[in-house]
Amino acid sequence: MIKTFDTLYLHPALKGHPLARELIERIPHRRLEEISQLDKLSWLIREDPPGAVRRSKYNAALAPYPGRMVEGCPATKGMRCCRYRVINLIMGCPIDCSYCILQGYLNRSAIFIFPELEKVFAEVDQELAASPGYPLRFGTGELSDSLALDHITGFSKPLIGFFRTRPACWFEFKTKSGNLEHLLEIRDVPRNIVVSWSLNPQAVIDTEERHAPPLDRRLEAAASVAAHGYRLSFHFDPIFYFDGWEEAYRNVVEEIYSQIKPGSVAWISLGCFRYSPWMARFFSERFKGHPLLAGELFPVAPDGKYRYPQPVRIEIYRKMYRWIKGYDPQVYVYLCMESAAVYRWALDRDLGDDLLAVEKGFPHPPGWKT
Amino acid sequence: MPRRALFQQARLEILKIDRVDCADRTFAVSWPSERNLEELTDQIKSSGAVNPVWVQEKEQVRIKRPVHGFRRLTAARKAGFLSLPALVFDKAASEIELFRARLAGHGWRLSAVEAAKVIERLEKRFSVKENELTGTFLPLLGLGASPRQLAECRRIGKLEDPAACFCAENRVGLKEAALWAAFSGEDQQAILELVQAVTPGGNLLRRYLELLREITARENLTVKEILARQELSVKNLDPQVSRSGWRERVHKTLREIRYPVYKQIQERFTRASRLLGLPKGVNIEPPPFFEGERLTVSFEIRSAEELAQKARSLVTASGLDTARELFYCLGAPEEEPGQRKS
Repeated sequence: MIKTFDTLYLHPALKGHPLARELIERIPHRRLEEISQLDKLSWLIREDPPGAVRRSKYNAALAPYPGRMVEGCPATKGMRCCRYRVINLIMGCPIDCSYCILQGYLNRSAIFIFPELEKVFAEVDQELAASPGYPLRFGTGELSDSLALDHITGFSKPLIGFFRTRPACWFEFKTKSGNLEHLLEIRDVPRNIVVSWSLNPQAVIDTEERHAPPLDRRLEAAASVAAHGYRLSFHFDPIFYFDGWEEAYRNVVEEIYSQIKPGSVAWISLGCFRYSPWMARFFSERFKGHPLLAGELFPVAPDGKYRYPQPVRIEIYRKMYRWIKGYDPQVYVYLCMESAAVYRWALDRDLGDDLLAVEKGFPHPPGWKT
Repeated sequence: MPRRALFQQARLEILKIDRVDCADRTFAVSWPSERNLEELTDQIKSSGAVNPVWVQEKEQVRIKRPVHGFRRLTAARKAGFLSLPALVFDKAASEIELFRARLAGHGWRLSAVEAAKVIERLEKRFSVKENELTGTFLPLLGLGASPRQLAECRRIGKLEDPAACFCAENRVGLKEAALWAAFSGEDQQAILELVQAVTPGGNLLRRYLELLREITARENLTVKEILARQELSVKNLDPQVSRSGWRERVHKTLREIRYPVYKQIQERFTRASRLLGLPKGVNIEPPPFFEGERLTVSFEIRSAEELAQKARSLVTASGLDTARELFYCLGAPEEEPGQRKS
């Protein structure tokens, strides 16, 4: 885990921003550089993307966000999506997972932090005002790990404070970290706050999730926030297919429910390892010789992403679903970026033509009124 | 020294070949060293040496070192010439400028292995910085000005003989040579034996190398172990089969080793569709890579009767358990939903 950033870049527009000023004090850095054209930092990415990914984890930038800070998950053409509402407070992640799409997706050579919380809150309220008739789920875990830098940004506290007063929607922190200091300081935890952990067997964590805490630390962390009153969720994403995958993943499911009471888990997602064709370059240059990245994946319709053969994915989902439901019959299990056919054959769930069916299936937050 | 001045200060003269120190290979780029000189020797014999070679004066008076035209010098000597026209550069001329000028006219014709050796020399002997290598020298070598191509050039440095020699002589592309170089010396040799036997083109060679890289990564096997398999062993290649047939067979076998689960799915599907007993010309195809929920049925007909006959055969086939088997290959549940454990 990064202790001190090499350079902290600051956009001059934020010089007077109170939270940005606080963050300059809190973020440990060796050098502070004011730069108005932060886009220029992207040149490294264009020149040498794999090398720039590594270097980007050692620099941070405080910047104003140019567009909407709250937006729907970009999803994948032709696939069913849970439509997580992404709050872009941080782009980039100190954890270095081999499979992470952010390596190529973010054209940044530093971890960008966007401290304009007031803008986020205004946009969330706009989204809530145009409520589609079912509860929305917001979260910060799409373009970064929600908590990996929380010990220095402290974003979790104002976010919880804000969503406490919006009980008709969910707010989900997605993380691999054990950074719970701020979460555990919250008294009277709102029931619409969910803390979720991305899980994999320890053997996968050892090889593919560099700088990420081990499985037992994640589950201990989950148990401690559950005891503090937070709802939990888990994401098995990406699931890798390898010799012995069944035992490995079944053990993780067993581990969860040996430490967590079934009622504490709001939802669990499943998603098999997949990647866009342009990711292959990052795998071969940054993670050469990683056996799990050299699995049997094919570029399939409708989006051309590499995936395990459909029957393999269905077998994985079907089994994982049974194991989970065996411990926790009430928990909502959904698939990330899969087709309606896979849903039907793996989970025996017919989504019909309703493209919002996955999102509508989520449990309702306690403050939701129909 | 400005580049134009480099040539303005040079002089043209008739040079005695024995005054050229051909052992000085500071500016040599051909690798392996000058070869296939018969044609050039004959040409010089019949027409003389027309293009001047480039040489630079050395500290020792009267001795020059070659800059450009190593092949012509060797061929002229073989042809019995004692002298030839030369462009003589002053000893004060910058080595790097001379090298740059030499590459500007000729660099794009070098093989990937030669280009890699040039880059290595520029880094080690001339201490050229990375951005200049990328921005200036890679384009002179006919390559893109990208760090990726520079990395590939550097990787080729790990290509050992005789694989390196093969790549240079057969002008194997940069990407393919870099992929090849990523294997151990023993594996490089094993690949060479296969490549010499089946002579794949550039694209197919790349595919072989990628498949081998992925198999070795996943299976923790060496290339030598993979290629020792009976179906891939060079010794077992059937002489009755054409070279293109060998190439295709090697590709298919490597794919099957790379994708064993997919192969099983394919075999299951093929077996099930055969068991349907459909008449010739009626085909059932899975979606690409078995992704999706729809199979495609195709058939040709020449008459209404044939249509009826083929339609009847499909109706009969649809009632067989084997018809369900086709959908199991796509992932459809093999037990009824109601029977599932929850």
